[in-house]
Amino acid sequence: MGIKVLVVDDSSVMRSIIIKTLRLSGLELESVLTAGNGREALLVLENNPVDLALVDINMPVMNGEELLDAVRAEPALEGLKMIVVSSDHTDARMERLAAKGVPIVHKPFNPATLKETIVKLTGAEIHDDGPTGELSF
Amino acid sequence: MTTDRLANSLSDAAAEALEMSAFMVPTRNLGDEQRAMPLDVAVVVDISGPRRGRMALAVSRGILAELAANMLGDDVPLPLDQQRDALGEMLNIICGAFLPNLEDDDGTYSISSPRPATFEEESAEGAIVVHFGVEDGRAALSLRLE
Repeated sequence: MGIKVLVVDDSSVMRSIIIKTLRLSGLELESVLTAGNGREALLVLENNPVDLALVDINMPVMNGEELLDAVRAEPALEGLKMIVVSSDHTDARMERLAAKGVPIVHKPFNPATLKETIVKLTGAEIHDDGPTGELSF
Repeated sequence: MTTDRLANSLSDAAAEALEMSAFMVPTRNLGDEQRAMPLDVAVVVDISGPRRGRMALAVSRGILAELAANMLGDDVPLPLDQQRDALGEMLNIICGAFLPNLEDDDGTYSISSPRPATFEEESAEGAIVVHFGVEDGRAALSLRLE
């Protein structure tokens, strides 16, 4: 059984790039859902069990840090693993995220980097096929 | 940081982003034909935080489609608006990778959403501009700090 992933990014291009990279990574994926900001992500999570969320930081409506805090405050989402995928490399932001215990993948990234971070966090299995299902929010 | 060092940092950030996200290897040594190519499509982002400014990325039309297709992994030609969105995301990645090179790096930076720009304006006097050869085309990056 593969993992269920939610990709949260306000850029449709970046969502596509992340999904493409997930496919290339060789991870076994059951489904990939998407959301355009933190608020949309919370709505998706209300009705869709997800194992892992890949979250951008700079987003309108609800940014990635706010989403992290909201997820941590929701007992029903206790098992959700989160990885920040961001182009922001500045020290202050990285220190804040590190304090929250969230792994960070910097853009630009390659499939190997993303896979390594996901496997380390979730113990996900490696598989050569792409996702068996893909939905969009 | 000197202008030369900023230019080198810009160049390094662009090279890494283009190579990793679009499988394109830029070169600072442009041929005569490349130098003559117009920079047809440009996007810009605003930078806010400890330093404020703007960064713009422009490319010749010939490489825009390939850049977008490589980023998105699509075999079919993408419409121009999606190509421009891909260029904007590339700029966002380059800008994010570059910002820690600024001396004043003890704060949090924000990068605005990319928007269409006129590169002639963005690269006017006062801007640091770096030109690249990319495949058979040309790209340029400009940085303007307040």
